[in-house]
Amino acid sequence: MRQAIHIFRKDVRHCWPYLAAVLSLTALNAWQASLDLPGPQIYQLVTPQLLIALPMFLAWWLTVGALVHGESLVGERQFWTTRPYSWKSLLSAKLLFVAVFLALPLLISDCIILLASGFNPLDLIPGLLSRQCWLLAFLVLPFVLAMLTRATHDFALAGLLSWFVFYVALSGLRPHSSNLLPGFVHPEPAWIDAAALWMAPALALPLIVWQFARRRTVLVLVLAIVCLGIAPALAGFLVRVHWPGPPHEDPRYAKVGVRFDADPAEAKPAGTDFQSKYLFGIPVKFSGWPRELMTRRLLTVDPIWPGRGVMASSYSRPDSSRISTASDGRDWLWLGTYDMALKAEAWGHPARVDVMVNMELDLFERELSATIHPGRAWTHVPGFGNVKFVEVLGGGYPLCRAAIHPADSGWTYGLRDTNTEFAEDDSWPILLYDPSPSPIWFSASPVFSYAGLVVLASPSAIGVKPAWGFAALHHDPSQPLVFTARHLVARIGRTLIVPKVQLPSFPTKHR
Amino acid sequence: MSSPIATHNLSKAFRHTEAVNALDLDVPEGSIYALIGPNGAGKTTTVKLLMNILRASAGSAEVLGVDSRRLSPREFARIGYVSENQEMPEWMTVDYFLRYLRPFYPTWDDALAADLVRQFELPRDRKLHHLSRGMRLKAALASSLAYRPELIVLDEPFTGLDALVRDEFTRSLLDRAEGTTILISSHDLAEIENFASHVGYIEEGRLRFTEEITTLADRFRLVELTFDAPPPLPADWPAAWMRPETSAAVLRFIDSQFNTERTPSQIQSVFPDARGLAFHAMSLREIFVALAMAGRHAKAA
Repeated sequence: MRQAIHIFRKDVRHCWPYLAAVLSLTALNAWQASLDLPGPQIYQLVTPQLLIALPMFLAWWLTVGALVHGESLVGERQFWTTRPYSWKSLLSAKLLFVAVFLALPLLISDCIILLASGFNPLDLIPGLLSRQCWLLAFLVLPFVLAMLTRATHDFALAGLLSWFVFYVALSGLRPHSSNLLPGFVHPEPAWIDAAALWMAPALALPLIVWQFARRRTVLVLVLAIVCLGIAPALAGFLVRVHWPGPPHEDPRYAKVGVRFDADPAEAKPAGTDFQSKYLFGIPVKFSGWPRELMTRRLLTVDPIWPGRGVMASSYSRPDSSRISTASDGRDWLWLGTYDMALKAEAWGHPARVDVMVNMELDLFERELSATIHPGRAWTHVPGFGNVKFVEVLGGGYPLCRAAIHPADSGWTYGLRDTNTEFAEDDSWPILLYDPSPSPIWFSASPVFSYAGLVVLASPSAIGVKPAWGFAALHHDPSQPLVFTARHLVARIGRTLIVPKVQLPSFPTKHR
Repeated sequence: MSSPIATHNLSKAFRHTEAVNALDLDVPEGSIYALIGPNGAGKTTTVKLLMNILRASAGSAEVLGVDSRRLSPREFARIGYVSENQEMPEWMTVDYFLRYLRPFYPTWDDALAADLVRQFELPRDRKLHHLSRGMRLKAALASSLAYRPELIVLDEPFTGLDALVRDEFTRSLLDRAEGTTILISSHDLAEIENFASHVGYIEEGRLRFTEEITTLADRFRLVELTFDAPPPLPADWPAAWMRPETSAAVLRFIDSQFNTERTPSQIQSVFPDARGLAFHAMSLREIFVALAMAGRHAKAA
């Protein structure tokens, strides 16, 4: 241990520029996250969070690279290999460095941010530890790459290549709508990513120990490349094997049916929604629909071209895809899509085609609500986190903060102005909580635990911040808000075939 | 007691190249053993095998009584290793380098380290990166002598050093490492000749001979024969006579098995017409060149 501390102190001296960068960025992150800022908008490309997160990730990687390269494990000329170094001390020193200068600052930063967001860190110890584990899992890859390279440029190149290989392997595992069957509840990509990120260190740790003990670089390199490919595959396989499928569908909702309910010839020209994405309204008729429940999550819309089948699929956008009931009592499926391929192939196409809509409906039951009154103090919302008003220039916005990850998986949240005329079903809430923690990490996906298979923390635990702020727009500070939490009670899959549709002719202004 | 260094059938192959081939080496305790040989003979590979930097393809080596593959910090605390192309922690100053290494060695002697720094005129506050090649080697040597190692292994330490630095280096080594076993691989035969007690000649990965340097010097002689006419070389030319050269009526060759009593009569029997006979002592460098040339010719043949 004495030798490990001695090497550790040398590493501190050697890596101080990297340490300065890491600690500065961590402090900046804590300061920025503690401000009462509304947080990133969901589709905002460059956010303050991103501007801090990216350099932080880079600083972490480079620090680990410099740390391991301090006693390079590759080559035959390093001075330390013929000195009385114990490999256990050397490895311990490196791990101690990571714990003290990467993990601990993040933990402290997390606590500061949580306190500033109205949370008591002591109540969130499992979540904080989970984030520490995520950080260590994230740092395993640079650690492995550094122990298999000698110079920074090799390390950087290997890093880029590794991410490429890792994500190529992952992309092959992500579900594609074209191979989804109606009613099949598919694994969330975020969970495959998360499982792969865990699998990689699990496979890499023995390699790290072996390389430090024996310095068998070529053999370890080959095994590392194999692991890099195997990790996503194994993770994807395990997630799929354990993923709850259609048998979990609640029999109470077996009678829920949906059919197309309009003459497409009467439809009006198409347009775009407020974010310039395509919005596709389909008049439908639901049967057996439990009206006390609301739904979100519509899956794909696939034009079926005569003789060519499904050519392009479009995932729907959770924020603009919904089901609503018009004043004439007609139900509408609203599908907001991202897909530019669909735009080119379908939206502008004059031909009439059949359109297959694969729906995956999450049925939510309203369970909890809290009224948020204007004021400076945080209001705790059970099942979510904290909300408070932030006043700016005579107006203000309610700031919502969730800690670590959504407090309970299988919940969704809505904020509603008490003065609005919105329907009681909250079909168009002021804000539908979207727990995207970071633009460059995984969006939260609490589905895995919904089926009772809680094997991992939510992927949203990854990121440089333990709490995320969201602000409602256009709020009148004189009016209290009602924060509603809804619990997921069932997920059902349905397929709707819309026959002979002239896609450009669907209306978009209907609410 | 076993020798500080002993190898048994030690071999190392890089793909299709046998860098070290069935090497049996024995370095006596307290000796200064010079491992010499031409470029690519396998000297550095041998040293790296001994230091467990490389893994042997076959055979084994024992260093300080321990299998070289099992060398632990405990053994390395008793070994001083300096190599011409060793990568040093360039960011460290000389002073910090020595302070950093100190806790690794239970026998570290601060006074000796300070003395070495003074003797080598090492600038304490300068980073290793900013030192000249000679200075860096001296820093490496100082850091390897300061704990009074039982075994010092030097791999081509004189390469690229000027005469003054070589002299300082050698003098310090001899002054500070009295009684210590030293293995030194080098091309610099003139330098080695002054202080080596034993020599091993390695060629194409094989140890051609190993013996005390005094017996080696006794064993090699340049033989010069004078004739009335250019002499024909006999068909049964003795294997121990190397590199025969004729110039007019003079025949020169190197006898690698010179014996004061036996050699003159042997020459007399092979060359009964020889009018004059002279023996010249050879330097280690001349012996080395002769051996290397003989090896090359044998390979070409």
